[in-house]
Amino acid sequence: MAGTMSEKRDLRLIHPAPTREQRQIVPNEVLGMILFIGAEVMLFAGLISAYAVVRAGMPADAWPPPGQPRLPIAFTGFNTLLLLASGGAMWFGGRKFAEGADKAVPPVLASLGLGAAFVALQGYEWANLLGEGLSMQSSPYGSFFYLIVGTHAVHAVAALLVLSVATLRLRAGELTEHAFTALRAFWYFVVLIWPFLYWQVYL
Amino acid sequence: MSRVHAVWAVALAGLTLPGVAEACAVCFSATESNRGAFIGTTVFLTILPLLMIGSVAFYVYRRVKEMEATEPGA
Repeated sequence: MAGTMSEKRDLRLIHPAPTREQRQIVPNEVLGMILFIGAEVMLFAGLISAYAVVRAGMPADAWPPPGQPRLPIAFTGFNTLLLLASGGAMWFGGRKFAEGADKAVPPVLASLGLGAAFVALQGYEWANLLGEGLSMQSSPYGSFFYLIVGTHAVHAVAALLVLSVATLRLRAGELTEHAFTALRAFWYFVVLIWPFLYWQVYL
Repeated sequence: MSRVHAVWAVALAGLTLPGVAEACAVCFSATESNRGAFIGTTVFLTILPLLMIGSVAFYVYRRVKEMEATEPGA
């Protein structure tokens, strides 16, 4: 019995229990964000699927419905470039983080600025479209437009707010690498899903 | 018409006139493009979660391999 206890003690010395950090294959923050993004992808997939079915059920000359304003393809195309540039700046910020948290602040601020410009220009576009008579109640075309683009805008605004707080913590050196990775992943999701929505809704 | 004939008549109508029946409450337009959209979105919504789960599994696999490679004494 005593020999068995001794053997166990020896084994613990040879194979020490892994630390918490060693056991974490995927950091909690990143795993949580991956699951959240997965759910959000399915939300947008459901919205786009409903849109595709309704659109396919309409006669070709009835989509967009006669009398309803056309969506500003070129203007939103430019806005899409702003959002993609914002994603690029965030990616650069992630690379700079390895050199030091303070080095990541300028690209992240640039990313925030470009993202805010995207949201502001979307708001301007919405104001124009509402003025021209496209509303949630005007037609299924308007309903789907505001629902899909609005859902994305809510995500963009929420991400910008969270990233603003994160930038303050980044400047103070309080943001952990894992938290920064998770937040960047969410912003990449907001950025990368937009071209798909643009293609489906605008083109 | 006997009862047997009536049953046969209903069965025959069911076999020859399936296009009249619209079992799906939201299938309000049975056009070819609409049917294509239903099939396309069904395939899309079926494959997408599998792709995402597969991607996460691959990411975890790569992380495990990375951790094994960076372990001291590996």
